[in-house]
Amino acid sequence: MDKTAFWQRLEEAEKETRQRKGRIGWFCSYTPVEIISSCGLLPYRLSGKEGTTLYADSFLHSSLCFFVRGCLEKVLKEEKDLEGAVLVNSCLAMSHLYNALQKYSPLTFTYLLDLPRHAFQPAVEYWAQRLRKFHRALCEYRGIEVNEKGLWEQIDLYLDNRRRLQRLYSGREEKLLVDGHELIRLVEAFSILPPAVFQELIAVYSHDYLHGAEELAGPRVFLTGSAMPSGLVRLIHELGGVLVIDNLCIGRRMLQFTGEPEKGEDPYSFLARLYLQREPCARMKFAGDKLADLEQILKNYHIDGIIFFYLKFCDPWYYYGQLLKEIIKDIPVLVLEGEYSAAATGQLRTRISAFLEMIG
Amino acid sequence: MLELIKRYLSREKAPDILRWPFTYSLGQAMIRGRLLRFPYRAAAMMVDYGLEETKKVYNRRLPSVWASAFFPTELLHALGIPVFSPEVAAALVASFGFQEHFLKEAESRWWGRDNCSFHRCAIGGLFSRYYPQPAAFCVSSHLCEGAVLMFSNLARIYKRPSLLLDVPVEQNNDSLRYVTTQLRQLISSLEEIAGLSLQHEKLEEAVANAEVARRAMQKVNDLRLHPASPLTAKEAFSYLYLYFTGLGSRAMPRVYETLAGELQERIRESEQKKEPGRHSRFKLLWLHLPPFYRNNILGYLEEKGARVVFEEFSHVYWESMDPGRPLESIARRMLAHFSYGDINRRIEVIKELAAKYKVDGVIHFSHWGCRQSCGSLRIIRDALHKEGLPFLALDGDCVDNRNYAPGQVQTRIDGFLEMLA
Ligand code: SF4
Ligand code: SF4
Repeated sequence: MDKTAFWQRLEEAEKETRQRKGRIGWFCSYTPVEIISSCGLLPYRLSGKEGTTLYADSFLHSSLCFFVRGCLEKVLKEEKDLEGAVLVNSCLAMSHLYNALQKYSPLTFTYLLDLPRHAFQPAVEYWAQRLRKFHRALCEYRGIEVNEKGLWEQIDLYLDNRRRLQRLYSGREEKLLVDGHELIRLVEAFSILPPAVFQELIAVYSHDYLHGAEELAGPRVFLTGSAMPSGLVRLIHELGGVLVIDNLCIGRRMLQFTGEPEKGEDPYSFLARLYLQREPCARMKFAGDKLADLEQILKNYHIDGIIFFYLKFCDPWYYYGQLLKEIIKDIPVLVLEGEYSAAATGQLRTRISAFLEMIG
Repeated sequence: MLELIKRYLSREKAPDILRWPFTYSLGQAMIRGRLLRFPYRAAAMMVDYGLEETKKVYNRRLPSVWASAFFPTELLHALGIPVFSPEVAAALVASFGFQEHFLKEAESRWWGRDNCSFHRCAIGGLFSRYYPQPAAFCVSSHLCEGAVLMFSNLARIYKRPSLLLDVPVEQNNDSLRYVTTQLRQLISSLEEIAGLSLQHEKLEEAVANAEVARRAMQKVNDLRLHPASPLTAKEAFSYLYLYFTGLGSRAMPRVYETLAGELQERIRESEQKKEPGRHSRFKLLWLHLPPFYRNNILGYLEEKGARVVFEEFSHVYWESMDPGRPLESIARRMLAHFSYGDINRRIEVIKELAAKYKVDGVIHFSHWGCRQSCGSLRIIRDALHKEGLPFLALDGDCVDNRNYAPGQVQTRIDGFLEMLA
């Protein structure tokens, strides 16, 4: 299959998925999709509606980030046959989105998961208990029995998909055959499609496109930051940058699950470890600790420049950006503040282009 | 007096003056010698205590810590570690009219105007050397996300430890265990940082102090139901200093008990004189904090016959604390905050307070940059309307007065009061 045909097939699969019943919307990469899937529902990641969100603005305060307002607009205006939504208490904007969905959406199941900010053992235990409680609540909603064996099956399936994606991300220190925006596009598909459908597609991709392709040339970029309009990821590529790795919740952070279940461990403890011990997002207590190791990682990947984007009114990433600027001294950083809209990425074009020229 | 202080603060040398413990002793001497006068003895006691604590922070005999607004200060008082509260400091700086200097200092670096000005002020104060550099930054995660992020960044920049108490939104045995375990760990970290060791009796004493304070606060709140209660909202706001920094201290129960006694006394006097009591056309409930810089919002309301009879922040939302189970009691207090997590919790409390104080309307002061208090305003408005309670969201800023436009605020208040009439 040629590559264009592959992307077409992927888009068609996504379109079909969008028509499916039993979709449960989710937003944050800490959402335990395995549990949703094991209850016979389809975990479906929602990105926000880009651009103006007139309707949602009347429900959520104007000092909340554009992403959550975009998400509310999407659920209320575009995703009319969505069945439910699962949110994580990841930041204040998210918990207010939960409040708004609960009050103003027609969803029949809305749930807020209480995510700890620590990752030490008591936090892992607390998160495991939350996951167990969530599983029970979802089973009750569906009128089915809790089935831990079924959950293990979904854990394996999702882990397999994550590992396949992770493999695409590995070995990017030197030779690059695929630009990072393609990988992020694949992670997006992974977050939307039924896991078995994705498994077939990713097998095709890994088999057909990773060999013999031409090596990419251009300034090597590391991309990090908050939720961002999808156009921004592509724009870097269009302007001649090569996206080597990212630290995004729509990208690499979705995949960094390592570890095997211990003997006799229940699925919730295992999931809790997987989620809490992966690379942290900016709201976690230890996000700053990880930043200290970043410089070395960037050197290993021969990164020429960092592009850091944060949405206006996003506190976690705003503060993260300050630390990034403070800690990373040897590699140039481009800081972009923006809105969640394609038009906003257009406005950033000149700045990105000048940056790429400078580091190129 | 205020003018004199201001003049000193705007000088080059001002940080030094603020850092002199003598400055605070001088203040205390003025209070004790009655050169500074207060409407209540309780207020004088509180300021005296505040000066004493600040003096301890600046004389550096003991390592002090920064504690965010909702951090359990019982632990710090039990250990005898002086507490510096950057949010309270911001409110004070604003009341002296000196906030702009700090805000600009922060804004000249990384912190823009979309962030909470309490935090910008703290950052400016630290960078410009007015505020003390602490031995550690202590923060709790409930309610204010900005504080968690700010403290952890400052800790990294100043190479000091940052201690986080992660408070979940759910209230159950799991979260109670999680918080209690963390409290235990926090104590060991604090012991190590300060080179002290906690005596269990001290912890019990701190919790006992907090409990007496809680009951006295409740008494004050109940006395405010009386039509002859003289305590104004502005005065009530000033006592929040103790809620934010004093829980666990010996001073807090004394101040509140004194205040309760004085209120009782004044109510009795006014009853004996058969005074008619304070009558206002409208009684109001205030949500979130007020602006701390010079402004006339509460005054204008009074002028128009509307009185704020209670504030959400003065509400005693936690159950009684048991000194025999100190950590569990503190954990329960942390988990009990109504303004966190599901918005229905906050709505229920607002409705309860509105009914208790028989208010005619509710004002929310929407402090710019406070995602926590403003995020779900629409839901609050809808819920109160259902109860037939008029609601006004007054946009503004508690610390940054650069966008304060008295005329606009008055027009909005006029409109609101017309609706109440
Ligand atoms: S950055 Fe983290 S917490 Fe925020 S939406 Fe993404 S995964 Fe969730
Ligand atoms: S972009 Fe920032 S504020 Fe918005 S949902 Fe993500 S982490 Fe929260």
